[in-house]
Amino acid sequence: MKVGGGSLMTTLLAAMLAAAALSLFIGYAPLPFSQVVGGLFVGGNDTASVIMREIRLPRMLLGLVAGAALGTSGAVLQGLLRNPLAEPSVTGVSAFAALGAVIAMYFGISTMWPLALPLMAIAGALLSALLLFAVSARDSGVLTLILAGVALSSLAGALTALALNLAPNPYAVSEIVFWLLGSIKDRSLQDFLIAAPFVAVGVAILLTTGRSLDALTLGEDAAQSLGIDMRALARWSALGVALAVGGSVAVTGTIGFVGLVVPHLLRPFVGHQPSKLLVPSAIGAALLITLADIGVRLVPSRAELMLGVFTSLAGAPFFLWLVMRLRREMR
Amino acid sequence: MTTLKLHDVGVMLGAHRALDGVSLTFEPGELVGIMGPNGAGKSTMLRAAAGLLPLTGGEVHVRDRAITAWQRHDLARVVSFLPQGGTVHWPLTVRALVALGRLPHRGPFGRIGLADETAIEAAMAACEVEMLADKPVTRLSGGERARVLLARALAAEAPILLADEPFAQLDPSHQLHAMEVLQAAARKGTLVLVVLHDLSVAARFCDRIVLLSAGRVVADGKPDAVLTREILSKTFGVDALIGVHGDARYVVPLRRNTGTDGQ
Repeated sequence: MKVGGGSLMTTLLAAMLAAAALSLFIGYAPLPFSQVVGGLFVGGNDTASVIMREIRLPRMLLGLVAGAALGTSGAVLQGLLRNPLAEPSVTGVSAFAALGAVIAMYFGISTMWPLALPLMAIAGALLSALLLFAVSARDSGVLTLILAGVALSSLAGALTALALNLAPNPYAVSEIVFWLLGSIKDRSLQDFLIAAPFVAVGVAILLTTGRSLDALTLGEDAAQSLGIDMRALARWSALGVALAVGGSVAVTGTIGFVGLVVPHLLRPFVGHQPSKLLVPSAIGAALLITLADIGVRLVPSRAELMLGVFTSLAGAPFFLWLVMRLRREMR
Repeated sequence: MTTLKLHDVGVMLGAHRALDGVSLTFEPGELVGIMGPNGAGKSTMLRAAAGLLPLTGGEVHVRDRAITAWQRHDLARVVSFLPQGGTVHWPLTVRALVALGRLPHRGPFGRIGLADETAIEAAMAACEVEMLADKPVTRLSGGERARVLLARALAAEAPILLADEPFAQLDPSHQLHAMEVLQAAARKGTLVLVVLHDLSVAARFCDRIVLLSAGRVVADGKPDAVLTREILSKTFGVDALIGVHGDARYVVPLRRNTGTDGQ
């Protein structure tokens, strides 16, 4: 199944660019080719330009950013915990990021200071990642990880529910609930500009962990004897995951299971080597989110299906299947 | 130059005193068998020597420098450690796995260079796993996997090799072969510390045997000085048959010796 790393990357990149370009042509206002291109590059204040620049372009860019964040985070978490089930949403990291964002919205901090939204989300993600590593550092068993994820998700869910429960303004509640479902539609270019730098730094940090993750294939003792500082690696990874996931969740809400599915599907193509999985996972997840987001636009439902709902509908059964398969292999 | 020195090393694992006042000095080129009953502290000693454990007392010196003063990355080029159990978390190919042994030699973004390739090939050849090079590790038998992991540890070409029970799953022929591999490494100047249980294999191949019991060194010396009926009876609580066949010594535990308590 192994193909050259270069050709896999080229294929994924080409597919991602094609999907991103395609996504610009799909929307509720049918625009002919000339208007799509013209709206993007020529400018002006006509409807086509506004649609392209303020609706479709941010949506496309955010899909790529969220995908890169979730794919890389999933691949790093799986390598670090040596567990194919690790992923931002399964481990509760996304839920904590969402909690941070909800607090920023709830107290209205984010309206006064837009950067509070990603910063609070990053703080939430960082807290949960550190908790997760503390729990599953020594024992990276499937069960420990899932239980830690359940505990963290429940805690974040409970606190989020508490915030909603106490919210003075029902309009704010419904807005937050919809945001929590996860979507990249109706986001502005400013939203993209808020998320992108954090995600970029986070992903850059995560991409430096490859060699350490390779060494961890042999377990912690062997990895340390190969020169890896485990505690530094855990902290560094937590920071990278927090910046990437926090930055992205702050703008998109939780989009689950993408970080689980993509590394899992790509792993056989890179000879199962954790370091070689990172970049393909980033591109692959960006591709998957873009495709899924085209999908939700094409589904003829009255209210548009939320992207997070869509990925969970497809991802959760996949997760269950993976759990069952791993149980068979490990017992 | 002293390659590895343990001075009055003590290690507590929880409330359990796993090592207590262990002082040992090792020179380059020695093949040392670390032996002792289960729970004697053999693995703990090896992990302490690899700098993987906080010491509660004493010091470990690698090349006349306290192990705590080493950068982990530099230490990795000097000490190669093969842990017990043979964990491999992902189904890497054999070649990719052996290549992990070269990680300490590669720069931050370093690719595998010519020296790395040579070391990887040599290690795979020494352990006779070249024909498995493209197989996923998870498809190997226990014995094949043990040899691949030994090749990984050898590929580092470190002057000190610490191997914790690497041959538990090897058949007699491969066990002899693996000991020959370690002996060859020692003859080239590598200090090899290997935890093993087979008394005859130890007697036959090791230059020196360190016998641990309850976290302390109870005997240290040439195999025929350490593996005596008296010491084996006291340490393992077994009566042993010791003899020489041709040029090979054998030590066979015959029956449990109920007179002593194994301490």
